[in-house]
Amino acid sequence: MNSAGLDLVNVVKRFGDHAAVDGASLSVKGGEIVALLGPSGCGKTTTLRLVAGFEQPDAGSIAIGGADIARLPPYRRDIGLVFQDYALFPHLTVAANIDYGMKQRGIAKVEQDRRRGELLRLTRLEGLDERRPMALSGGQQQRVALARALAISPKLLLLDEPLSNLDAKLRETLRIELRDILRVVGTTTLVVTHDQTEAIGLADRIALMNKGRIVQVGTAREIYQEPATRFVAEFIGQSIWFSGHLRQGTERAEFVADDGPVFPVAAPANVRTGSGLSIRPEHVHLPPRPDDVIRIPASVTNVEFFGAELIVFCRLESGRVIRIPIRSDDRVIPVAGANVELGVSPDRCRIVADD
Amino acid sequence: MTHMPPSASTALDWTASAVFRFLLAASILFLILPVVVSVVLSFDDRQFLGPFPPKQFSLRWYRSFLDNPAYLDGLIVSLKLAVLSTVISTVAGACAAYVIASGRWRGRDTVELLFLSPKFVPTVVIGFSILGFASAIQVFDPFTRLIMGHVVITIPFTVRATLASLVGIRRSLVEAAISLGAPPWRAFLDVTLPLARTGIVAGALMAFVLSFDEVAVSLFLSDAFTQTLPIALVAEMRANLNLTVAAVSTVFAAVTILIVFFLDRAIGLDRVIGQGLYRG
Repeated sequence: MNSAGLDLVNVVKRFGDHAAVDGASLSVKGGEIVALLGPSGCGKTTTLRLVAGFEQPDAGSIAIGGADIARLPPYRRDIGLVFQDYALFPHLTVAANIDYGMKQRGIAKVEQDRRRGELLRLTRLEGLDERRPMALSGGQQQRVALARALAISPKLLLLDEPLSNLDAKLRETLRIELRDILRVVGTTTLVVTHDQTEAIGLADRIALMNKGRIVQVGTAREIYQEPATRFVAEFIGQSIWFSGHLRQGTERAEFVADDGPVFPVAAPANVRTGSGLSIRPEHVHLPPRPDDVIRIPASVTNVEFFGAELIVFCRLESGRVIRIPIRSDDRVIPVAGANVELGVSPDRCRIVADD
Repeated sequence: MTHMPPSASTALDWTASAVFRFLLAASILFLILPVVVSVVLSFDDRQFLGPFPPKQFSLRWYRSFLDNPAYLDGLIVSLKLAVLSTVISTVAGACAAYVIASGRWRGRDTVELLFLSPKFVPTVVIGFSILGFASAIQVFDPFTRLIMGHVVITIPFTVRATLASLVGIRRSLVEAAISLGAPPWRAFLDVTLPLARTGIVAGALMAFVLSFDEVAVSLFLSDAFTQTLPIALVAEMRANLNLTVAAVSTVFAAVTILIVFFLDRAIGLDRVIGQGLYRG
């Protein structure tokens, strides 16, 4: 497979006074699947359009396989693009849709037939080649769009919110199916999405985008365990956030939260400067475990029962209420009004930049 | 409506539906009856406009129609004029609509309004203005003047119809073609044009019928030697009212209906093929 890497370096795109993409840098290795994840308005769609060539960057460089493509028009970039609405040509059959890009390239009819057959098999669309797009289900339409984009043997595949147009029930099945196809094909892929499940399910690595910049790149696990900023900590998974400051001693450091608790922080080597501390709710233990050095007094305001899991609402001394999930095994379940102690192990506390 | 007992709401539904059917039937009668009367009269054997229905039938008025060169010449002028002005108006209108639909630029709404404005100006005013303008630019050939006038009055329809179909074409469709390797002009030919075809053809159809039937503007722009069929009809009616007028009207209506029928079949077919084009 001719899969080349994609490199964005300090890409800027302004619309009037507003910088939609504000110095974004990202490197995708050949054959890798990366999800560009972020809330709406973070600049991810603009980034996709810049890579596809529908927008021109104001600064920075975009390179595929080491060659700068910023000056190439979109029809010479050899990028397969799957649109959010699939954008299948409604007046053409499935076969003609898939052939369209090959026709533009003057690929011989025999080769077109061979490649189309291969793609129809891969996307499980055999026998549907003479149908029109409107006669297909949403999932089939999506696979036609994918087959059409792959037919040109692109150097890079771009997927724009690939699952957002589908029924919620189907989404999971189709995500797995899509991931399997992408793995088989092996083309370098950039998936733009606002849905973290989609990003985690499809991509090898996730690039988190906020306010026009890429704030962190890593595997889902890395990002979850070591969030770089408060935005990341709160966008991926749940986070209990304490604003405060770091008090650095000679042997150990302490994080002093503005609303009371003081957290001894594991080892000075691990400590980064930052103005906040993030704890994942599942790392707060109720009751505390023996090695939970950090103890936070709280009172239970409410308990919600969800079968295997319970959510305990705890009011801290500052008056803030946090949600702690606990397993509903045979332990003693706290009741509303009870005064309890929450336990946290120092190595579960992450000092993170507040953004 | 939920508070009403079912029988009451059913009665109401029934009454509403009956009134609706009655109005529909009445409208159809009003639309069709005068034409039917004129068609029947065109076969009347009597010399005068007698009471309806006629007692005896003949083709004498059709013979009289064929014997009168004013009518035949008029028919030929009308057909030539309608074809030429439809072609010009459709091409120009479709191009204008494409530019108007291609994004938000300054003055876009003004330009659109300008193209649609002939709809709102009285045709008599347009007729007189074109006459003045034509002589100002030294155009004295009546047929050229007629084409100018007919393009002006038909262009709002071709622009409007094309715009309506262009608006339904999502930007991503054109971008998809481009991302697959088609230069913008190719994407236009392969995607935009086929998807806008219904609108373009509908506009052309309206332009043709409008031009073919037009009286007021043509009245100003024709002369004694170049008359359209409707003008010849009006002139003949003033000079000597007899039932040749009914025969000509019948031929006239038949030609219009035939053209509409054929064009509609073309558009209708297209609609079947493109089911859901503008919805998906």
